[in-house]
Amino acid sequence: MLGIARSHNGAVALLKDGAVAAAIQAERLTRRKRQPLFLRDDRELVSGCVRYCLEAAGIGYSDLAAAAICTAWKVEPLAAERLAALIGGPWPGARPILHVPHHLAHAEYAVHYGPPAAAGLALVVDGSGAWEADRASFSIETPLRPDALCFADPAGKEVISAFVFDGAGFQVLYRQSPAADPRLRFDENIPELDSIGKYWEWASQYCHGSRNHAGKVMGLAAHGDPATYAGVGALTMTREGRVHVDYGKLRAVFLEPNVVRTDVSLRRHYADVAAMVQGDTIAVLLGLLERLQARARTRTLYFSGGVALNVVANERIVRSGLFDAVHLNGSCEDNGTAIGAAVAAHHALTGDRRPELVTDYYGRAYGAAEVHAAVAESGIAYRVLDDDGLVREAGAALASGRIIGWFQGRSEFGPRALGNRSILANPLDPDTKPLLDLLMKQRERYRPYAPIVPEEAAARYFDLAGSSPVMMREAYVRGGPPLPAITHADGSARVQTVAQRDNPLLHALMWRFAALTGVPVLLNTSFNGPGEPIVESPDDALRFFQRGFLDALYLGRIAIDRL
Amino acid sequence: MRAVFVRAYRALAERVCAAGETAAACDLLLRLIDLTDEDDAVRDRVAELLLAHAEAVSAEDLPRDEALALRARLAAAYNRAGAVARAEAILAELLHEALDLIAREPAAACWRGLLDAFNSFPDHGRARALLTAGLRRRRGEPGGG
Repeated sequence: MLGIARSHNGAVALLKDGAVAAAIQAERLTRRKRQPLFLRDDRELVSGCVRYCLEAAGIGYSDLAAAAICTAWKVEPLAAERLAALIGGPWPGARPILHVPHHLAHAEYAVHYGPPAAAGLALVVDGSGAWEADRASFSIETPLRPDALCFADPAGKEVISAFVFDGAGFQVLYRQSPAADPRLRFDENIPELDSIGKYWEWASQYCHGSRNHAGKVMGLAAHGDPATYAGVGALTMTREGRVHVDYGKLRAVFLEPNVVRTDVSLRRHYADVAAMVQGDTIAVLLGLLERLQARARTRTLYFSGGVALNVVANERIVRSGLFDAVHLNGSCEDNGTAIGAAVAAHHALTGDRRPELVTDYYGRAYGAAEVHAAVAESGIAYRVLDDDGLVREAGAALASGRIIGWFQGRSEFGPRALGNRSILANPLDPDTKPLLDLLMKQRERYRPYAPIVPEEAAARYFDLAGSSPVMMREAYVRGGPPLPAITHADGSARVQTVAQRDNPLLHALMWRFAALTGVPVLLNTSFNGPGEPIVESPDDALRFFQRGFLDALYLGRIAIDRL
Repeated sequence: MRAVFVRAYRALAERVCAAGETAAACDLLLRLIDLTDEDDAVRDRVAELLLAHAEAVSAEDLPRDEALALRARLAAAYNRAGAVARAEAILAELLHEALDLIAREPAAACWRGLLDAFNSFPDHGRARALLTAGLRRRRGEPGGG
């Protein structure tokens, strides 16, 4: 089953017997951040992504049974011959092509990682999803429950959806699809939509001069005081349950947009704006979930859509007591809809569901021969280590304050490096953060770096109940040895827990580091430079290394020292 | 909006440069470089103008943040002109004070200046060594120069 996210964050995924076999974001191949897939004139890119997945899964074009396409733009039906041209392989006319509603694909992605047949509430919150006008074009219908709260304008787009999942199928419990006045825009490209995702785009535009920095807003919020603008009431929920963003108030109150994109580190005004947006979001999400939970009568939540990347809100939901289980996975942005659409199509065509454990290692693994060839081609001197030697040497390098590139196994699909395409560093060293900020990442000082910790040791260093395998939760750093490089301004950290079964090499590396320093926590940041996608191939990693920032690169079992 | 700002600053900066108001010109050029960081060609043209004026500006003519930023931008301009040793010397001299300032204040101009300076090095390993030494020196550790 082929899944395609036709999106500003384009992606392709492949399901084999109902389980995800491979997935890739287009940006990883073009090396251009937020690379869209339009399915128009981008045949080379689409076919490149499809070939990547086929090779990673070890299958061919003839094994493809159906395709599922998901978009937040207007649906453009695809004939078989057009799809064949786009993917670069045959597509017989009888082979199904399904169009899956955007929010349903997000929900399908979320429930794919729950326990088998675990009923629950699936909440999807993002900037905007499918057009209501396109409902007739979709191949999969989702019925409305009789008690559904539905605020859908025929000219609107999905911005919040909640589905009741019974372990097999979905019913809509909540739908908000507002229409936007095309004349009202807070930026030339961004409509003033009643959407939590758009509210974050507004904040990103206001604080950072670009709509694409919601993550920076989240980092900035920890420096601000939510009380300063608590009375503005820009994001609210009506008594009926409709979410509203008052852009008029935002225009009237906030008069200093950062149009020149200056560094807003330690600027109180912007930090307070960010704290307001974060506080409003938590309040509205909790209010909405309380209402939906009472209707759905379930203690299980699945959460997806771009807003689910907000670890601060996630943690408040987890700790709210509304749910016994909150399921989150890392590709909750549009890239995950490639998987979600394929899962939806697989279920629609076969009636089968094959839930999987939470993971995001869906990219290619590069074999030893491929890695050796790439290094040999670069002409850089290298050494080959065994597993034990690799862990010992990298652990010692980290303990001595060296910053290393760590390229192992399958690449990550989503926005977060989870230890296979990572830059790793010593969180105890006060130099680590300025070195990363000023040299490798070239970023603002207020933004935190994330820690990784063995799952079994997480509770000793962080106030975290349970696990966080895809870095979707926030926890406070407990007292103990100071960890300056990963502790945020408010004492929190965006933790990734690593279980031995999920990533044995990384797990061993953390314990080796602990043997030398007493602490099994490492700083983990994505293996990329500023404004670049995460490295995908050995060539990408070597190019980054050759810029001279890293002290060492561990590329599979190959060790390369600073040039 | 951003393009309008860039054009306006650029026109103004070039007029002030032509009038020989060196400190004011440098102040405007710094802001203009901040605005044009994403456009290498424009930034390099502005950096050339800055290079032509910056050495003449006394540190006392500008607030601390901007004075440090100016020197950091100057280092970047030297690097781009191929005078790496000169750039290193300027950075080594200002780094302790700059790191101290950015630990205490927003110092946005200084931070951006340092980012530009470190990333203008043709050999980033050299930039890394310089910054490591600066950080150690600030903590009073051996090897910090």
